[in-house]
Amino acid sequence: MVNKIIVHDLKKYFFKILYASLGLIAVTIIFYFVMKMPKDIQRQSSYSILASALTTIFFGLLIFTLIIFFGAMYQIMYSSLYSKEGYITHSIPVSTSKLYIAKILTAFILLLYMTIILIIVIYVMVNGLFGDSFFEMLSYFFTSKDTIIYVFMVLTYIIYYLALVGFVLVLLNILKVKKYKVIVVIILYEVVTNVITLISQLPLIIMTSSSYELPGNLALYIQSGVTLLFGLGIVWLSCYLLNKKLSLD
Amino acid sequence: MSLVETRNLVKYFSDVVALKGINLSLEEGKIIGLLGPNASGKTTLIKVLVGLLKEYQGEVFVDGQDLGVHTKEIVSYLPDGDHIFPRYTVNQCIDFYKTFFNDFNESKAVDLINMFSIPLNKQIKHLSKGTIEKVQLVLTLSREAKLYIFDEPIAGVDPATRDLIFDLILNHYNKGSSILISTHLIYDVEPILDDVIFIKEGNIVLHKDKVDVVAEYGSVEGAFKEMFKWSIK
Repeated sequence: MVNKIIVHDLKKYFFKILYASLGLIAVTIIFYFVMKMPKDIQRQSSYSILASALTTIFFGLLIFTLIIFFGAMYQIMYSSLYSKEGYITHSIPVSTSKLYIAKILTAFILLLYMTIILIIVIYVMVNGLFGDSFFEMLSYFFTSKDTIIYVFMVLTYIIYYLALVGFVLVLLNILKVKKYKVIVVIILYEVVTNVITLISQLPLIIMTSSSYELPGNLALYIQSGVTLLFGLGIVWLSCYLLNKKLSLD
Repeated sequence: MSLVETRNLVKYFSDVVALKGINLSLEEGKIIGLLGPNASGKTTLIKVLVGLLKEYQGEVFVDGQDLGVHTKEIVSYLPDGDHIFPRYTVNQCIDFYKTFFNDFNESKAVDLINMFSIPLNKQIKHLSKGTIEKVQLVLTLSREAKLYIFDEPIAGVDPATRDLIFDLILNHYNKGSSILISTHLIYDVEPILDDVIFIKEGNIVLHKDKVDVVAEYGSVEGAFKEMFKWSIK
């Protein structure tokens, strides 16, 4: 049933995001080739008109894609669970925990996809603007052997922040907040995120403050591991609270 | 074995007691009216039964089991008001029910939708209130459920539509199953009931066979007026 919920939600939202993001990538690639045009063409007035038009289209598409994306995330993580639609969603024959986990996994897939799209867009744009020099500068800080740990970090932080957002929305439901929901969500998110992030980073703070230096990327692996564990712990806590205190008014 | 059983069910909303120790036993194969004025606890009781309110005291069993996946499998629930996905087309709503409810009878749903001449490809948000209620009712009735729970299915609809809704319920529910129907419109619902439950300020004040109620008070509406001290000017 969890699979069915994920597939259903992805069918409903993914293609909208896919079409918007493919459009964004297409415009980004066109932009790249325009930026790579020879210098004598770039001095022509028609070039600046073209560049301005492309800039407008690019930012318009970027904003459009992000609006569709955040709209889908709002539907998946809030509307379908706690608004009027929740009455139907919660009557699906699946446990509340599995329903919640299905929603988190769907949001994870969409957020991961969006992260990859944004990395591609940023990569192409930076390459077009600065050429290889930017990446040569980056190579002083990151080497190819760091790739695995940074991919791992991106994945763990996506899970962690989704878990936090989900937890705040659970709190919003069980605390029966009726007014100023957006403000309450922001305050709750800030408080919960800062408290939990501080706690989850304590092992790393202790380690780095000691004189013993960890080899390679071990400190980052430990940091990511702890973050992942906290993320999963928050998901478990959210499921527990929903099972005990869900309240659809 | 009772299809629905509650033991000393208490539900608080902050410091307000919405249900005050409800003990209820509903038999299989009956149409039961859950009747009471506004804010008497009808919707709260139903929400507990369908698992939308998880925090309560006491015990609740449906089909002999604690509330959970099994009880969701056998209960078809029509909420009070518009709760169907506004951006879905009618067709997508049917597809949603087909995907998630194994007991959903798609051809029955399509036949009923066509009977009402509701366009399958129109989004829910573009339909009239009455049509949305019909769509929700069709989807609920198209499940071959063991227990149907209708929360105020006739509130806010005109008398002609009320008759149509009751006809639909009586002719298309899964025969042999039970129906729990909540309303404050006693006169309209009276003809279809087997059992009557009166709920007042979170307490069950009467739970009897309709025949016994009619014998004692003349009609369910008469009993209701007596119990709730109503008078018609």
